[in-house]
Amino acid sequence: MHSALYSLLEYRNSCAPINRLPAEVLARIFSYAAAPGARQKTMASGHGSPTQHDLGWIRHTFVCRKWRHVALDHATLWVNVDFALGYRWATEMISRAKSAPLIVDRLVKRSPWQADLIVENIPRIAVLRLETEVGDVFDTIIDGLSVPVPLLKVLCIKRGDDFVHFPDNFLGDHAPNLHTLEVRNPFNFPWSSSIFQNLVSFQLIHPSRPRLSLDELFSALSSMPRLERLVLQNCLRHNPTDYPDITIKLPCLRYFQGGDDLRGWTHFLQHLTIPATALRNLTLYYYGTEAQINASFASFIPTLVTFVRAHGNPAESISRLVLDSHHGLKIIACRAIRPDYLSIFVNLHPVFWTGEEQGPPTMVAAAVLPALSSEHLRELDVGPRDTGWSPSLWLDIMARAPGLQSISVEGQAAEMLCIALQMSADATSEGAASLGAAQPSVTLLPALRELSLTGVDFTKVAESTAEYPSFQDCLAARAKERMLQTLVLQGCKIRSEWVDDLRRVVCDVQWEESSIVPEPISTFYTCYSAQSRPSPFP
Amino acid sequence: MPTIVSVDDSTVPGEGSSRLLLLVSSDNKHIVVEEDIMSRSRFISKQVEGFEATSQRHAILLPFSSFVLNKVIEYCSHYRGYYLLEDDPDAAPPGRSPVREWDQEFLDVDRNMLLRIIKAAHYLEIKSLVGSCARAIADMIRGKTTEEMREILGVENDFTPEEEHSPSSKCTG
Repeated sequence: MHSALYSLLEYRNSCAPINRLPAEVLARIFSYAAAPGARQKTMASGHGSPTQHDLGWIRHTFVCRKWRHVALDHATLWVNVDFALGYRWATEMISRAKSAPLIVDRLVKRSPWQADLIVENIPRIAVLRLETEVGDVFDTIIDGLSVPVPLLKVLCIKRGDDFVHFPDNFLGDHAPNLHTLEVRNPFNFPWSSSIFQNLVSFQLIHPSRPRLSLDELFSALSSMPRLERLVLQNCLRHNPTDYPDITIKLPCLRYFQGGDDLRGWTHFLQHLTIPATALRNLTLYYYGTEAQINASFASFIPTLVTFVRAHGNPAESISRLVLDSHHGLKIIACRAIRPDYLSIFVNLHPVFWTGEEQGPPTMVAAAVLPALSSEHLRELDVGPRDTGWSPSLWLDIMARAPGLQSISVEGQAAEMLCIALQMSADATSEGAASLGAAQPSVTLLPALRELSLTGVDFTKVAESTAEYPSFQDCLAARAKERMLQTLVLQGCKIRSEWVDDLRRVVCDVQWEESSIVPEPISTFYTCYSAQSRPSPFP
Repeated sequence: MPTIVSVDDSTVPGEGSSRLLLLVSSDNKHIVVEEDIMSRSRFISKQVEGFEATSQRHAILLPFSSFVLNKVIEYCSHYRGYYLLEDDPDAAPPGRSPVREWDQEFLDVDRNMLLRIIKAAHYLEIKSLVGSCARAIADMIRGKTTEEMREILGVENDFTPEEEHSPSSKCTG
């Protein structure tokens, strides 16, 4: 009787819409439903229950027979081996994964058994990430990487700043599916191996000396014809005589990130060929003293601009550019997924501001903006530490980037923008006292949709003068034309009634009061005008 | 395999870069859609390849309603021309990532509709849509108790008392 009842319930469940989904879809839902972030709670101890880890979906096995069958029988749910659960669970997972390729991306401390388990299953592993300091376990696994790995797709080996000693006959020189390789401080690495030929993503970080020779690096890169993503940090030398007389051709490269001495990059770019059609993403860092940073950027930026121009139409070729000197200068320019969408991030630090008319901030802007075809700019983001900004620089950018739709700006640059917006508008109703009474015309940045201002003292910049309309009236005019739709005010010194007024005309006004009252700025009205300074652009 | 019926060329113009496809839903609604829009569906792409091999154009009969089909077409239209990692057969499987903002609004439908969409997406082999639906369903049951999950998704407890407390017995075979 009971058996018939349960069979009837099982049949009823089989007709439920959720249970009519294919098993692989149901399994996918289970994997997504596993509670994210729960595993960290027990990682420190190295122990925990399945529901606290990536096996959070195990509770689904108690919902109904169908779910239990799918959860326990579907190999893909078990491939991500979780060593934090202990030996018994790890072996159970490997067993239930059947012949599916395994994923090993987290090790735990004080569990030497996991090294043996991994080495034993290396030919079955598709993803192997060794990124933590786990002592002897790490060395044992590295030593075990001397067998062919037909299923291995992703290999990531990083151990702090220590060198990683790779075994002879690394991966048995047979890793036909290896598409992602990330290594840090490799030693005895087989740079001439054939395992690179199918790589799509390669990351090499080499903070410790001695570094690999440029011959080794060039040889390895030349054997990666399918490379789409390349990250090189601390790998290059800045002596031009060290560079081999060959050109590296990476016809598929879409993302390119590098670091260390920009003088090294100046030489490296001259040995690099990337097709104009390739989507390029350059992220170049340089950290050093003020003098070093200035020297590096001064030599690098012209080379970069030449490089960009030499690779076809800059508007079509370069998609994202980041120049970062950590405490100093940072420029990010990027074009997003849409082909007509280009944004730029400029973060200029006082260290570059020499006080001269053509100081480094404007020099950089002058070099980079034209190179990136600023008429395609859609977003502009300016960081908080920049002080090299003036209303005239903003007016130049506005004129050169008429398609800007979104501006996010902080600090002194934000205040200068506010003034520039006022200067760019002509009031047709003089002496208007209330919001919206004046009707400034919108000439520059006609497409501006979103404006985010952080750390602006509006009590200093918002007032109208005989010469310019008030900042509020400028925004109101843009909002009335249904152009400006979003205004974000963060950490701004501003009167609440003014925000209330703006909310009547701008669709979305987000005002976040900050406990930090920004430093008052000097009034630039009297210091600047649109004609007082020469254009920073050539 | 879907049922295929021959189509008059005048019904489905097939020249140029924006060729049209005729999709027929289970409620016999005829929907004409640009082939380019539906190229995200590997199933449709394979059908079109078949057409080219035989030099004949056909309507494609699909086993779900026009309401569901229109939702799928809306999804494909939105992402027309976009590269989505999940739909790249050569790309590595994507990790866990939140549902895209547009997808969240798109999938803000009742439970049964959501299940119909995921089933259709699976049939049409649109991996990105399957993934988004799966995430949406997962969001519905994440953190819920067994009883709550049963209630949300309309299933009954069909375990015998012995089975209920031993997950690895019997059912695993």
